[in-house]
Amino acid sequence: MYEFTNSTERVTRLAAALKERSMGNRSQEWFNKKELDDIGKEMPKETVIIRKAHAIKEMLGKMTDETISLHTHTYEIAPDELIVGVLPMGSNGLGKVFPNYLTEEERRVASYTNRTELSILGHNTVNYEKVLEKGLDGIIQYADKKLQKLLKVDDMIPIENPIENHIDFYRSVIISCQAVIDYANRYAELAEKMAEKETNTERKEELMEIARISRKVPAQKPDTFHEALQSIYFFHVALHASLNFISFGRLDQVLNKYLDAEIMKKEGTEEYKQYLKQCTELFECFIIKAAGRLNMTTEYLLEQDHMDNNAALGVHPYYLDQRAGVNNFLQNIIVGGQTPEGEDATNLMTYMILNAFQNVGLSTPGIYVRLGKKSPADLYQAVAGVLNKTKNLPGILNDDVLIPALYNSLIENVSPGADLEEYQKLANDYCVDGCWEPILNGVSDWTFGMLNCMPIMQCAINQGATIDTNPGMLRGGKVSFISEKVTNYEEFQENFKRYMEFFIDQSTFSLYECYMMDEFIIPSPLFSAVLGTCLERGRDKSWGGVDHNIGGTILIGVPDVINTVAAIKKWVFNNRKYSLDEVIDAMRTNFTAEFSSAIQLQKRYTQMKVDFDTNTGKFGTDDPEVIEIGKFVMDTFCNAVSRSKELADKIFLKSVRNYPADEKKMIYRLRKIAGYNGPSLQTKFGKHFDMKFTAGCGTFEQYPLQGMGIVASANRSSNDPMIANFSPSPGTVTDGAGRILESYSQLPMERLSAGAITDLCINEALCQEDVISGLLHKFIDSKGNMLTLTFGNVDLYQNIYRLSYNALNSDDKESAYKQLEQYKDVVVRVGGWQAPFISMSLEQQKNYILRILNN
Amino acid sequence: MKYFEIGWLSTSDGPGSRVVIFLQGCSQRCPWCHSPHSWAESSPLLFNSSRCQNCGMCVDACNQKVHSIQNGSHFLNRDRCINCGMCVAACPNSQNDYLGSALCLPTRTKTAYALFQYVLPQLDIIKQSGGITLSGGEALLQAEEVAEFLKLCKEKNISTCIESSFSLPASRYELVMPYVDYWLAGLRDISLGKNSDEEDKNIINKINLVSKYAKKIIARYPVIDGFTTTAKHKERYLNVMKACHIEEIEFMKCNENMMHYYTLSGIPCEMNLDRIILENNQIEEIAAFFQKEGIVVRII
Repeated sequence: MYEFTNSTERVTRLAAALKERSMGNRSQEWFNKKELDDIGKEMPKETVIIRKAHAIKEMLGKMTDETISLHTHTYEIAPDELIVGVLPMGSNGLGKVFPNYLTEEERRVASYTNRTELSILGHNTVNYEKVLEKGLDGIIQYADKKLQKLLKVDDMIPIENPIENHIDFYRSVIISCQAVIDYANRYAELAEKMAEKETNTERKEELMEIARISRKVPAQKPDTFHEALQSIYFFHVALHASLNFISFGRLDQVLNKYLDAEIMKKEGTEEYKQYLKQCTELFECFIIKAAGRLNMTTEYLLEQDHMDNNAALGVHPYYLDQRAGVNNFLQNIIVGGQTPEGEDATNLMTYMILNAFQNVGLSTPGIYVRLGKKSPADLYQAVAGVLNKTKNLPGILNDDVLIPALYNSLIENVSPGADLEEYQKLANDYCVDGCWEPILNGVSDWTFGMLNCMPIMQCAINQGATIDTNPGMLRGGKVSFISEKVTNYEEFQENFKRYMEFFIDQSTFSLYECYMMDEFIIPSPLFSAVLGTCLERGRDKSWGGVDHNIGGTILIGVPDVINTVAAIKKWVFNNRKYSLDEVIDAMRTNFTAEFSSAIQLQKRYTQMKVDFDTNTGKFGTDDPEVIEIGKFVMDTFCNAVSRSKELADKIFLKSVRNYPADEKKMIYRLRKIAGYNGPSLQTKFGKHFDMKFTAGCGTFEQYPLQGMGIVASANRSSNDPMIANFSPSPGTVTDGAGRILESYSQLPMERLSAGAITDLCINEALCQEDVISGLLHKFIDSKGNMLTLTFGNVDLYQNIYRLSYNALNSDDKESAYKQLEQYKDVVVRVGGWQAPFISMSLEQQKNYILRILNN
Repeated sequence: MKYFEIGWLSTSDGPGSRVVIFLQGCSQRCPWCHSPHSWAESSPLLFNSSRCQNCGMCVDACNQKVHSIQNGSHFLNRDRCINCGMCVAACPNSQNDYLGSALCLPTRTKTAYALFQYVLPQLDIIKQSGGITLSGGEALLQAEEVAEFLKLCKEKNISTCIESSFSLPASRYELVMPYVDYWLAGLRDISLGKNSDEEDKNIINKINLVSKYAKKIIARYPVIDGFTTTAKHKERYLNVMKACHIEEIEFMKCNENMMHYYTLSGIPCEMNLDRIILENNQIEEIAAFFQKEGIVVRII
């Protein structure tokens, strides 16, 4: 059994330094756009992917510019550091800064499709095993060999498949990978310079070692644990600097083989223990470096807002709750789980990584552990121990649900005779991206659309219109087709299904359409160099490079919808205590009679609200009505996604040659209606190309903003936050956590291969390690999908809430901010990922306090 | 089975972390009791004025005219209440089964099987580190159902525990004892020191009877100044413990919030709180007395 150790003094100092920095004003550390050359202007004739590669080079170059670094601090090695390289400022909530590379005209057209250079989604994972194995030199050599071959071939290539694209892909891979090697070398130079001046011999040696390693990796294959970590970190910095907020993936699987094989044989010896301690320290240094962009105070956020319309998912503007995403960098580390062959994958690194996370206690990167019936009891116990100490780490992924879910998604519609075993291996090897969506380990390209379920439910009861407070809209917002009024539950179900299908079509078709734009706006040569089959195929990931594209649809607000439908079913359709029109009016007016003189009406609304909120079964319990509605909503959603895939494939994916003559004409017509005139994606990219459609339920950290503009529903007033992710409504379920977890066993969780995460917060005074271990087993046995746990303290949270309120509203803001500093280590789970409690909005804090299970 | 509360994760009702079901009904009426709503066959309506917003929804809902609001204050005419629950359903700040509500009728009835199924998911979580405790009220007033419930627990290998006064007839203890791992012996009659020697002997016999099956018996001693704290009380208690070979004792401080459910239920409290609560050092002194005799002591 692995023995947990404590942090070294070095790590304590590094973590303290980061925390201090993150409590200060970081606005000066951001790059100024003027400091970056405009590549679009410099080489407008080049293809976008070549320009992108040059932009990456420009960015990495400027990050190591001594003058610029005076304010960005991106070319520095701080005292004590063993892992070097600095992530430039940026986050999901605060935005990114990167050189322009589009031309003026490209940008103008992109405004029409709501795209910018910064639109890149991230949300993917590198399998660092392959990257380390080849080294960037190996990748460059491979690309160069392919390039030379292509340059010799004449015009034998079909028109849809222009050879120039392959050539430009390999050129851009070479430019961007070389840029990363150059970046690392400049760090070697810096370390050498600092070593010369260093008087402390110990530190001097460390700096020389840093220099040696930075000369070697990521160009070459690492030979030691330190080299492997440094190689990963350099590449991670380069990806994040070039807009791709890409996650770390299964690092325990990657790193285990870099532990010194000779020393590993000497288990129990002092040498062995010392070596593990050193490696743990290195990993802790690595975590702290990855957390470098943290903002722990809310005081200086406004000055750091660098967001533009790039956050769009789909062609419509999508407004992020930026405050909630300030410290979301889309980076997770996944440990445990199974090997591709289906064996338990837990290894020594699994425990060491958990150990390091326990010691460091920062809110980023995230850590998820894959647990299932194959996981050893020791791992459950170790995870329980870490949760007990950190109060919220790690998050849990249920292998027993997610592996079959992904496998079933992968084999949906595969041609007969396909190698199903390969799909099983891919599913066994899954991980999650920087949010929490399950993806394939370094071989898939994930994209997704988000869809709020509440307006769909509103359409189903309000004849295809959202329930809107603006009287000018008459019935409501006309977002869909009109239908008859529903008079009973069966009609409601039928309507809900039709509207679900309408909105799912809308959302999923755009997955294909957006994919087709990416090539010309946001190609990713650096990421594609290491992703799946891109390099072999000579294709960027935006140009049919990978074998496994996954397009997820994440449905927001499912627990809210289930609670509201349960209330309507009980009080309108079954008991007939209220009419549906009455309910719609009450929801529209937030259960408030318009005129204060309407006393009887107000009483009726109050009664209705009471019935909806406190006299109806709730999501998170085993109330049979609620379970039935839950199944109905989830199945309707998943069926709609599958149904959508069939039609979308006909229009966008498959060659018309697959269809009989009369159907061909129909397909051409459908393409025109979809606004698409080009060839099918498989014609363009080859038969290997496909995009699997998957379904998930969640909100991420976005639930406060997602509730804005949504009228009242069960247990929420108009504009209140939606329920976070796939959890019970805060304060409505007061039975033990076991009953909440058990309620998931009756829902079709294995259909949600795009994930559904449940966030629970339990009073910390009640939870010992053994109980936490029991909770983990119960979650796995109940076939939950994903779980985050926080062990919270109501008094503590209320105190922080009070101070945060004062920091915004009182006369003595400064003293409130000062007092808040002492709580910088209090981290909770919000919408799946972690946030320092003091950095959350008042709304989120208040909502969070209600969640805590207290008995 | 009739119960009025479930503690889903308790660390002070038997070994480890436990689910505690507080069963309705009690024959004891201990003066220091902090759950007076457990006494009767069914709890009276609990009303928490601090959660009430004086909206008057309950006034309209109640056919018995129990509720009235006068000058911004909510009054209850409890004599008329028939526990129908209409007011609870109408109240915006009340949730079924939630004791933190403004209005609550906490007593629930389930068959032993249904109640077992109800708590089983939580028992799954804590069965490694604890189990189930049936408390009260006086749990063994429902001895037959309790036996049935415990049998179900034992089938699933769940650790069982009962808190009892040992003042009920021996037959009730005989009924359940094969299924009980731990007993929390709240020997109130002995701690009150009112028993005759004969009565003490009776209790000792019952404890010795169940101890043949039990893994452990833990004595519980409510520390109530003026009631249970004199030298005589302590010695008598110690003697009984020795006679039963009980090696552990838990001292239960008088609950500082003991007035809470008197206020909520409208049941008058005969105690003067200021006079019965001891300082920590005084409790430690009593504990030391038992410790000296080689008994394992825990203060809750």
